Amino acid sequence: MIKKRSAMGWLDAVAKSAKVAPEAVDAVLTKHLIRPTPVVATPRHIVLRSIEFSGKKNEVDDAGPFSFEWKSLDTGIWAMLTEANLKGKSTIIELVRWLLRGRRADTLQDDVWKWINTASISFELDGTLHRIVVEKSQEDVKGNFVKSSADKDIEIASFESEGEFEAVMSSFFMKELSLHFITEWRGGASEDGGKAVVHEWPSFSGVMFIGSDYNSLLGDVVTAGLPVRLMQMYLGLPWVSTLSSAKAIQKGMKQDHDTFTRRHEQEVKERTLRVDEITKELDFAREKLELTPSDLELRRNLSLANNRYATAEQKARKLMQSRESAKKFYDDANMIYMEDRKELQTFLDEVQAGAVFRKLDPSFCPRCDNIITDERKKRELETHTCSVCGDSIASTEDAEERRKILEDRVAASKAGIKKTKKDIEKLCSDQDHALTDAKRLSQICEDIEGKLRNQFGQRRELEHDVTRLEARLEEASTVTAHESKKYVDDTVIRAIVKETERIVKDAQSRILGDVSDAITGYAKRFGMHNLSQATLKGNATLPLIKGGENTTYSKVTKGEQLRLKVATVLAMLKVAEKHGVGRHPGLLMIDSPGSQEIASEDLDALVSGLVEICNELPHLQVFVAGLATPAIAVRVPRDRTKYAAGDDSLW
Amino acid sequence: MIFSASPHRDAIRLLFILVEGSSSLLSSHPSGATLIFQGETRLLAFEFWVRNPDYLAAELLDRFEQTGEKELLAEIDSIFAEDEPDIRRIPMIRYLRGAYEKLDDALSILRSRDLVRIERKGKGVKIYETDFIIMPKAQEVAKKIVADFPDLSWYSRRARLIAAIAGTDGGKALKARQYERVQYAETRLGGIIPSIADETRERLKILKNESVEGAEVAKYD
Repeated sequence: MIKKRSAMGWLDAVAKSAKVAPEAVDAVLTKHLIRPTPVVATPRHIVLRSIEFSGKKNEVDDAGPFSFEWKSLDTGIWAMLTEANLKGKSTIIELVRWLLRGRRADTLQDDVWKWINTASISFELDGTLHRIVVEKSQEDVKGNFVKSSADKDIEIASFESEGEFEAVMSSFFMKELSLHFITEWRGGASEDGGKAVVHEWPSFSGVMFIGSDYNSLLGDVVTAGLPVRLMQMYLGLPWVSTLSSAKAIQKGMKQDHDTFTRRHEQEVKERTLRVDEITKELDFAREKLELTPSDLELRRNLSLANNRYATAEQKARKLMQSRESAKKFYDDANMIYMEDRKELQTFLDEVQAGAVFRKLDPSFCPRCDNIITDERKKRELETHTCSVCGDSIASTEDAEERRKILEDRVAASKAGIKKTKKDIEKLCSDQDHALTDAKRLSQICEDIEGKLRNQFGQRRELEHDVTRLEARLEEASTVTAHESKKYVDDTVIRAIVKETERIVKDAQSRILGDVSDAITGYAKRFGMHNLSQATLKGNATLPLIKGGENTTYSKVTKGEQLRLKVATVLAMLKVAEKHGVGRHPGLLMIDSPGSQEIASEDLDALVSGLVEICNELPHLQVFVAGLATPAIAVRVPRDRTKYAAGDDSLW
Repeated sequence: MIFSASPHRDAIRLLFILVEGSSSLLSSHPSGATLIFQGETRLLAFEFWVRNPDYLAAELLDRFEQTGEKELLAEIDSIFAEDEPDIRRIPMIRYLRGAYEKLDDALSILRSRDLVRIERKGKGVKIYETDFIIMPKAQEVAKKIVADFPDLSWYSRRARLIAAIAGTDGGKALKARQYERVQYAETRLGGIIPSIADETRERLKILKNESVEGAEVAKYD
């Protein structure tokens, strides 16, 4: 028995594995639309009761209206046999398929499709009769789906388009057969490629029909993951839908992650560039700011300049005072110089004038105008007494010495003037310098004051720039928190996959052995006598040991593939019945291909095996379409056969 | 004897003033002299100009303004260049009597050597005019002084210049001209006649600029 596991237990296990709170797991489940599917499916049985269709053939030999009826069908083997090819056996299967799944298969030929006007089937689902009646026009289809109970028909649904028809059939069978959608991640070649594909009834119904394509062991859709899921689903395993959803999301996430990583790398690259750029800009702005003196600095400079200006001005003023006093001194000195010169000049004049008059002896008294007598003149020579007034005329003054003194004084005062003049010149020049300095400093003060006024705004702007760039740099350097959030989801999903896969595999492994044995048994009964071992793997592959050699499903002949495919379905049915767990409804329609592909012996072997197995599996209903051979005709009772002899068509 | 302690120098100055400022005697003189310097006032006026080169310069400037004689400017330039207003200045007191006394000392030196004879005209003690007869010896002495004592030749040149300026004007007229100088007139009685060197120097400067400008204008007229 498959051990059932509650959804709660599963949730806790996932939370524990992901090391998060169960609430976080719940949030991830909700976010990604993953639903716990813990229910183990009990096998249900479909038995076709009737197949009917009608219409009008065009542009063929037997053109004209046609009508096909096949009633009173029941479990067991049924055969559609024609002696020639292309006589309508495949059409019967395709139409049943169409009606059961609501969607026309590509394999239904276009011309035949055009001929059909009405089609209906009735089937029993666990004993309850259902009927699908479809009227087909050139444009669309319409019809209804009815359930017969006791004495009246209950319409389950009616539909007026192909789309509606498909929706009706899909929802009905998904629910009735306890099927859960399967999500499959279909990767693409492109960078952002890959998308989640949801498989519903049209894909599931494939297990009831075996056509001429044997590429897939189960079903008729060839994709990487679907056969595994179909196998798990039809084995009746619980959690299959959950697992498929989680796995698809995981793959999607990986895809997202890869894309994210790529984008992230790109972003990191861009961010690095941006950071570099901003850093450069910031450095520049900072440098500029540094070069722009602060107000404080400017004020300090201004104060310094003011002090220096005051000093220079004071110096100039002092120099002016010095110059004034020097000038005064110069004036004084000049006056002295002039006086000295005057004195010298006077002295020279006097000496010379004295000399002039000494040579001129007085001849008259200036007072009385009397003549100076010779006697007086003689006495003057002898006694050095003036012949006029009688005073001594001896010179006591050393004229040369006096002259020397006066000349020295003039020279000295002249030198004094010269020096004073030089001093004044120097003072003037110093004062000029001081005034120039003062003027320059005053200008500097004015400039600084002007700068202070202008710079207030400028510096503020620069400071603003720096702040703005710093903020931008910080923003650019910050890695978004997006990644870590993603990581949490990733962890939980991984835990979901891990836990769910464990449950599924656990359940599956116990069944697969039985199924494998059954496949091997059935295949042998279908005539594959040299097959010693077929092993159905969890990944839906089927390694074989045939004639002592290891081989696989994909490597054997078409005839063998057909028989293995049928054997697999039957094996699953057998094991499902044995365990009371499974989802296959027990209806199987096998369309055998033309004789050139499948040897008639193979078909014979298959049919003969089926006849026997039908007896062993009471719910099994098998339809086999094929070219009529004596062997088949013998094996299948006549009343269970639609037979077209010669060139006849089945309808 | 306040300002000049040298009667000999005063005598030399007077000698040259008398010689250069003299004119021919109209009638023959008993002494044989041929030249006469008329009037003591005129002598004092000459004295004033010799002793105050700044006033002389001002007078020359006036003259130049009237006549435009270039030689006058050269003379003025020379006066200032040689610092004459300082060096040659011998201040005078406006109170003219003192000057008389001084002149008497110097004149007596000239008289004692019989270089000059002083003739006073008048009735009794009232003297109307004093004339000075220049003896031929005085002319000789003057020539000899210029030859033997170059320092003293300045007096000769200066006296000649003043004589040229004074022309035939009498002492009264000369005095009147000197009185025109405001500063001169304003000098209080008994005070020293102040120097007008600075303003005269300034006048010269302005005048020179004007004349340069005038010349410039004339050149382009």
